[in-house]
Amino acid sequence: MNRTNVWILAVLALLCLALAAPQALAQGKAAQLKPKRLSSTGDSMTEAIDAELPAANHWASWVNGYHGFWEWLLGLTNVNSHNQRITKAFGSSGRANYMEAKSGADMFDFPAQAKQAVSRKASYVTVLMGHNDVCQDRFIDIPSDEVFEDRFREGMETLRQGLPAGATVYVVGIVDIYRLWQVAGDKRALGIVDCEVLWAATLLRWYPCGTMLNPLIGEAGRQFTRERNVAFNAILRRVTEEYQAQDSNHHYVFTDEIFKYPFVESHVSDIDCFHPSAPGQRKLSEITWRHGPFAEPPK
Amino acid sequence: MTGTKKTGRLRSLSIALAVSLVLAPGCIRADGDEVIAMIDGSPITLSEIEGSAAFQIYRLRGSIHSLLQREAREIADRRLLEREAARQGLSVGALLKREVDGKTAPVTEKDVDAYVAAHPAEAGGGAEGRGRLTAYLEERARIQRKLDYLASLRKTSDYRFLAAPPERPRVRVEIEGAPQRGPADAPVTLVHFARFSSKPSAESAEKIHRLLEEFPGKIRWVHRNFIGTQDPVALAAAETGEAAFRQGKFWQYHDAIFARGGRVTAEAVRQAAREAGLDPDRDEAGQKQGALLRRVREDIGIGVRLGVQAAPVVFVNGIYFGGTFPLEDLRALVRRELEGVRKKEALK
Repeated sequence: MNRTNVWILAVLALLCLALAAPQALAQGKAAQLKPKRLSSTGDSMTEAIDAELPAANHWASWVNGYHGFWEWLLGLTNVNSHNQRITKAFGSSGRANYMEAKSGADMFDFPAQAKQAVSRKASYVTVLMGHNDVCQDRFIDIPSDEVFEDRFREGMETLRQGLPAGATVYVVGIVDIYRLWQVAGDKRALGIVDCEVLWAATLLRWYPCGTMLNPLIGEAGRQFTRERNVAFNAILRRVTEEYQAQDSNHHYVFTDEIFKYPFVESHVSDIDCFHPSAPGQRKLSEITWRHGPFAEPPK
Repeated sequence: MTGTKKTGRLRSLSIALAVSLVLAPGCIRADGDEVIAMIDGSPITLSEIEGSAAFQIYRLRGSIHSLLQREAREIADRRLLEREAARQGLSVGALLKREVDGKTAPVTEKDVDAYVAAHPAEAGGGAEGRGRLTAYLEERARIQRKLDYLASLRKTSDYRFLAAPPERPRVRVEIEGAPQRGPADAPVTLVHFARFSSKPSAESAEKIHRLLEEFPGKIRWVHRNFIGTQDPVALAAAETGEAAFRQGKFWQYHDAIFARGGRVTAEAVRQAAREAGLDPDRDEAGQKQGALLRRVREDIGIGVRLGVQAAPVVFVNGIYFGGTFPLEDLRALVRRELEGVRKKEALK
């Protein structure tokens, strides 16, 4: 191959790259991979606990949910999850849908879940974590900002080092759990469920959110917990934006739109008066997708 | 600041939507029914829609009502603060700084000790734990001071929230083919959507038992199953209930299984069946062919159509009542229904 041919090939290769990912090149980022290999990290919100039936309802997860033959036959809710939207937008070939989220997980579990996501060679990782950091049995167990941030950074670092170039990490701010508590009050007012009776029966067994739901903590206690909720979201935003600015190999997006969204009574489960119901999960999916990295541009 | 503005806009949007949903009527007919849509010149009315979606509409109206309530209270509080700040010639921020931050007593070591003594579960965690506790107590004191200050301002005003809450709808609940106890012509029918393996269901069954004793001959009790598909013991218990119904021993079985307070295992189901005197071989075929399962599914389908999402739920003459609410509330509803029936009969 003579020198002229080498130059032509090099120019052509550069041209191809530029055409394939003009935006990425403009930002000095690796070209964004299609989100075909999805891996979700998180807690019971992502597992869709009690969304429609008691226990985990993975078909109704805002991110991993699916609606196949059995879900259709049994009349279960189609939440139009990120998983479903990805298939619709990018096709079913090469699709993978992994849920690393575990009920009860908090930011201490994020690094391990991130490791799992890396092992899947995920091209799209979602992070909706922190509810169990604000939701504790005791106030003393709510982590300090420093501890929360350290754990989050550890998980993000795992993702940065292990995910394929061009992968996207989508961090979603913690839901406003004070709002969920308020909505539970609406359920009572409407005569649907006496949520306090329900919580009293289950509080100490598998439902650890005393820092918001325990009636003895009073309004000041609940508002304190909400302040922690807000502070943790600020950390999630700051750290995510820092990664987006400094890591040219991956794409990072943060949204706290689900914190701001005024969820209503029907968005919260009648089964436990706290987790999102199937319509709530559907709303989570809609909002996070609309503000997420793969939303269709507005027409 | 942008975030706050954005939230404000979102809120305004929600409120506008809420108000339009509550207030904007369709076309009202002479008979008072509202025309919601037209098909080839023929109207579809609100009462027709409510026939199938009354409870869902009620829930939405309830959400709108509470949204209006919260937002109105927030606006009222903001106005109170602005008024007080203006009276003192301050900005709201400066007023809060003086009245809240300036008047919140600092937390001392003694306060932390006293809190730990009163809440032994919060003890431990060493110096870090104590630091967190101190931070919590300081912040809680500041929040509490703000709440108290706001409460003192509220006392100086006459605030009234005028929007009426939605009325609970009355729906038609199918009872044909379901186990019933009590007179067929009783003035009050209670349809209990319940799960044999749930403590709240066992408790709501107990409440209905009490009412049956308090209002003899006035109540008909109908049972319907409502279970999650991932609860095999609940399913077995419900299927056995169907088998008992076929053998004419449903209520014996019902009472025997609920006597276990919702703590039910597969063995407990068999034991309750024995206690009720069920012939275990008689409905084996029904179980194998899925006939019992189909009946259970039918119950769940009826419940879902009526808006039931989780057991227990009691329909009192078609009015939804969450089974977790106290006996007094259920009793009051039954009394109101009996009174309504009595008045109707007096008018005849």
